[in-house]
Amino acid sequence: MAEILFDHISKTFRYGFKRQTVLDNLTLDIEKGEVFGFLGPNGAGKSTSINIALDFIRADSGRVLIKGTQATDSNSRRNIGYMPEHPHFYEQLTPRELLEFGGLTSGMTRNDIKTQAGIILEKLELLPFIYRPVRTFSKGMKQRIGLAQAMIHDPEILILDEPMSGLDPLGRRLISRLILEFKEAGKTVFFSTHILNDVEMLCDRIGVLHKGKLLYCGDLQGFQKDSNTLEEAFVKEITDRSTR
Amino acid sequence: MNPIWLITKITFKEGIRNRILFGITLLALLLFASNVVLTNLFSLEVGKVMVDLGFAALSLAGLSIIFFLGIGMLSQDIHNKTVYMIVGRPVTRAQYVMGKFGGMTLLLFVVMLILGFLAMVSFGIGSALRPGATMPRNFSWVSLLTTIGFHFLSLLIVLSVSFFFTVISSSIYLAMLFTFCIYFIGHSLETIVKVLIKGEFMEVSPWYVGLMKGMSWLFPNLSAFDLKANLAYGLPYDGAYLIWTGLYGCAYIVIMFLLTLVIFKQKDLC
Repeated sequence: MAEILFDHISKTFRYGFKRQTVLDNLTLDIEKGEVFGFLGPNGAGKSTSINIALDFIRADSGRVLIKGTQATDSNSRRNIGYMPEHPHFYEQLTPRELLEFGGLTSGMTRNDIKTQAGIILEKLELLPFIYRPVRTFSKGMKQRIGLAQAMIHDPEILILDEPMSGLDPLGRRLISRLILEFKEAGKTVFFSTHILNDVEMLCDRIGVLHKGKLLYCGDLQGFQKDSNTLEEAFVKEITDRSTR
Repeated sequence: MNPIWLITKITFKEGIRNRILFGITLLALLLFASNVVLTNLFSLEVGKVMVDLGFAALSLAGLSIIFFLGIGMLSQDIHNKTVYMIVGRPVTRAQYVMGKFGGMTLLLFVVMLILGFLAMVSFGIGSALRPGATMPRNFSWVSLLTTIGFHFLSLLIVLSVSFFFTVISSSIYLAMLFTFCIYFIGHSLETIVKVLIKGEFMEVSPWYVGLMKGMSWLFPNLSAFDLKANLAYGLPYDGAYLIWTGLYGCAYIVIMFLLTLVIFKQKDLC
């Protein structure tokens, strides 16, 4: 059974009287223990796919299953840790309160939260700021708090929407290291990105999305077999499809 | 732990630490202080003036909390996508809305409690500073608490209306505008309908009177919750009226809440 299954997902948004198809019959499965990179240019439909997997938006047709449970069932999110592209928090709260909220809603005890929060915040170099309101944090620190909140309940699946977006090289390295640790623990990571270096370094498999259609799904070698670099293969695939 | 209670708690904490709340409280305190000064300008019905000014401060504070904190926080949640950090957890959308409403209710309750007490202090100081001035006739703590309680209920109706408009509209300003319109209509419609039915000052077609009567069923009758006159003039409180008005208020909140839930469940959070 796939950890995450997108089964013939289509989604259209309406802008005034115009309709735009954002996802067109997307079928995709992510297996247990793999790091799956979701690639595509801006507006390809990556975030929409993730939003459907988390039931933030509803597909027009098709279904998403998380470990066999429909994504529309809130229990499907019990095993998920999610970080959005631009994490926004209740700015008056402290990291401790945010992690406590995240842990308690996921069924953890206060003691477990305390222990786990200490470990994660230490790894993310946020422990000294645990009692400071989030409004005083920089973008990079907020991104790391977002990741801490996603990982607080030790989920089996991590879904990250552009996790490296806007981070400095140190921040990116930190998040890459955590993703690899997560993989070593046999867990699944599904993340969207357009930073190809990260994909080469982290991913077991990739999916390439363009204008709502899945152009490729498989391993990296298969995707770049006729090109020297991943970037070259990616640009070629997208421009070929655009000119067709 | 129940997700609704957890969301209620973080909403309350976020609200109570917000600087807007400090501004609102400061404004209310200034109004209470002005209560002490302004009552000295009146020679008659000082008790009524004190009650009116005190409740004006309470109304202003309550409405400001709903408009700037209630609508502001819910709108920010939806439009800034802060809501993702909550509904990305095993939390249903219904639990989210209930938790938010619970948090705002708790915030309003605490602020009303504090400001209600300060209003009493300003009544006391106002009476003490002015020789011959007395508290309103037949004044009792029960009557004051009843009046504040019904005022609180009317604020909860406005809060439920504000949630509905925040969820259906794409802009915070539209939500504020719609809520303000409902608040204004809710306070004036009963008087308009009464005047039209009496027909003393103008002749109006029965069709129009029927329309206005119909509208009075649709919009909340907020003036029904205004018991200031009873408190200021020492009038008796009718138990049956209080029960039916209370039930009406609760029913209106539940209906608005269910409508909000139905729409929010279908809404794309993007």
